Amino acid sequence: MAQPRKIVILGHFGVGKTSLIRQYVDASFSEDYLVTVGVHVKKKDVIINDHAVTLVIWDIEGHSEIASARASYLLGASGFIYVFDVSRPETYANLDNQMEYLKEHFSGIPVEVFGNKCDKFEDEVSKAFFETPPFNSYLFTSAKTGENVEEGFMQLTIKTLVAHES
Amino acid sequence: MSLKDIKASYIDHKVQIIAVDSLGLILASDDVLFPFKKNHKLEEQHPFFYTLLPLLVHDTVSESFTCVNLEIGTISKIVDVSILNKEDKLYVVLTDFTSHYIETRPIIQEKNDSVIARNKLTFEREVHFAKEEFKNIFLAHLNHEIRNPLNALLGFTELLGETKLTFQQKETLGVLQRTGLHIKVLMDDLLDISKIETGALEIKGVPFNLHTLLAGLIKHFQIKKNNSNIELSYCTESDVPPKLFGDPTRIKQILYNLFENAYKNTKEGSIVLNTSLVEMTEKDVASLQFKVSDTGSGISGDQLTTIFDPYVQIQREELIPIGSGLGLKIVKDLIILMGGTVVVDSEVAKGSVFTVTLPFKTRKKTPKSKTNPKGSGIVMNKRILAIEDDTLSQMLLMKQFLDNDKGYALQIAPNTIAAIQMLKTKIYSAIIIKQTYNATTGIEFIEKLKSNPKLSAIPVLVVSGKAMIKEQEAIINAGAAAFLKKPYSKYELITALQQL
Repeated sequence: MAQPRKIVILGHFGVGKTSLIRQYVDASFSEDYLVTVGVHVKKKDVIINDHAVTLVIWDIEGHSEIASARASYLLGASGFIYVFDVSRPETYANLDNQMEYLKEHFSGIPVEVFGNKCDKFEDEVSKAFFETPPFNSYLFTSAKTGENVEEGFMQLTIKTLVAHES
Repeated sequence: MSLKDIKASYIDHKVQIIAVDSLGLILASDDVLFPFKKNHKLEEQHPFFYTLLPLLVHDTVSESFTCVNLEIGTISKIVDVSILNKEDKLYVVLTDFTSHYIETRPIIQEKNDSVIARNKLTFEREVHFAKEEFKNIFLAHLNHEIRNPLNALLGFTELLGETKLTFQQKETLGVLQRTGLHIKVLMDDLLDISKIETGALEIKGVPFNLHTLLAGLIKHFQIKKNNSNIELSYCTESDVPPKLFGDPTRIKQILYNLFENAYKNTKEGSIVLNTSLVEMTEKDVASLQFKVSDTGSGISGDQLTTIFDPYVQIQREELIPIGSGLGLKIVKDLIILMGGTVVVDSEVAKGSVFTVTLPFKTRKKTPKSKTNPKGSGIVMNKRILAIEDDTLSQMLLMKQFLDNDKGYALQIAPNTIAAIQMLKTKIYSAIIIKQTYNATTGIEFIEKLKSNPKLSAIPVLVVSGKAMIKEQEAIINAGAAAFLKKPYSKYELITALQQL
């Protein structure tokens, strides 16, 4: 029987959380930004190292701070994806504080950070800037091209399995 | 119909109640919003319920989730979900708020869009300021790096001109001098733009005579452009008040640049300066108009918009490129700083008219005060101490002071330590020191000198390629008597010493 894993996607509004899920679950993309009100939940079944996992992905409305998100949405999460937009500095300006918040309130729950819209590198955004700490430890994704999206979700899923076993 | 019945009819079609067992199996549902199949698992209806029940089975506290988007079959609704744990039974309550949440969506969308746009604008502004800052620092460095060798170049060229030369040598030397001076003008222009953009340039309000200023400027160009096929003339209307308060140096700079521009773009014909009074306010402020017209190549409509842009060079088919393109930018910036306006009208192949309007406070005639003749006529011997470590600059200084008719005798110290020793043994009339770019030795030395009662009275002249206004202020604040910007001529150096 597949093990369910609740994954909550966090981050400012307009960073591409919904687009990432659409790309990952439905393999589709739209340039239009349509605000997410409340929460949309989607699921995807995956098999990792012979483990069947049902990822239940919570796409919640964007907030500049996790503390402002509705607490019930985060309840029972097995993992978090924190998404920022590489072309909007305000979306990663308080990243350290947000990571601290998760560490404090959701200790032991794995977190993956996505620098989304990496298709803008070299065109609108300098890639070199993100090659320095702390950014060089994050994954750079593009919901538009699909770059690193599958890999990112996979990495987090593996982490949730490891966290569960330990 | 009772109130209870009315309330029930209002709420009933918006609220669905589903009873589930501890395994999440649907026991009963009134299916008001969504059709749920009995004896099926709740999580099969929608992924939202998937990870929910395990949390709540053992929990005595109920939980609620607001604004949940549910799509089940063809039905799509936004509901608030409450899970009630009553008497060991679990109830899931769905309350339909679709219309309410849909109405709020455009408001949130608009707010988010505007925040994103505002932040983008703020970021772009910050990037712009950072670039400006970088440009200004770069300009300061560039100015310094060029002024120092240029000073040696112009200084030695000037000294060479004082030696016996053949006609051909004199002609070649003239070209060298003009080229060097052109670089100096470009450096000054760059510096002016930098000063204007950083707000470091101050417009003075000193008394001056406009008629004298205009006559001097016209005379200058008539001599300078003596060999050209262009007739330069000016006309000042009789009601233009001559006695004004303002910044004559900057007014001259504006008109000078406009004349230079007119000469560059005119092969033959005329250049005319027309000065008139636009209006005189009750507070004795005269609004004056300066029109510089030429019969040159003119500017096409699409180029008119970029003519004051320093980084745009206008190429004309028949003429060479317009110099550095900095002059008109300075003109516009200075006029704005003075509270005036500049308008350009032009027609290709017919000519251009630059119309500058500037406000000036007028002044009334003041009786002339008696002046006494200066000096006794006897040249006094004055010992000057120069602190200079660069051998090329040392040589230039020695040659500049050789045979000077002001009686100055130069002695050179290679550094400040040697200078202190020399100051202990001899009396000096003045000290010349260069302000090095990265170190603060110049300022430190002046401060040390000023704290010594025996030496504090000796005036210090600072010579530097570091011509930014902040550095000049720092040097003067440290106690220096004057600042001389590189490159300087022998005449300028001697004059600066005389004025100490």
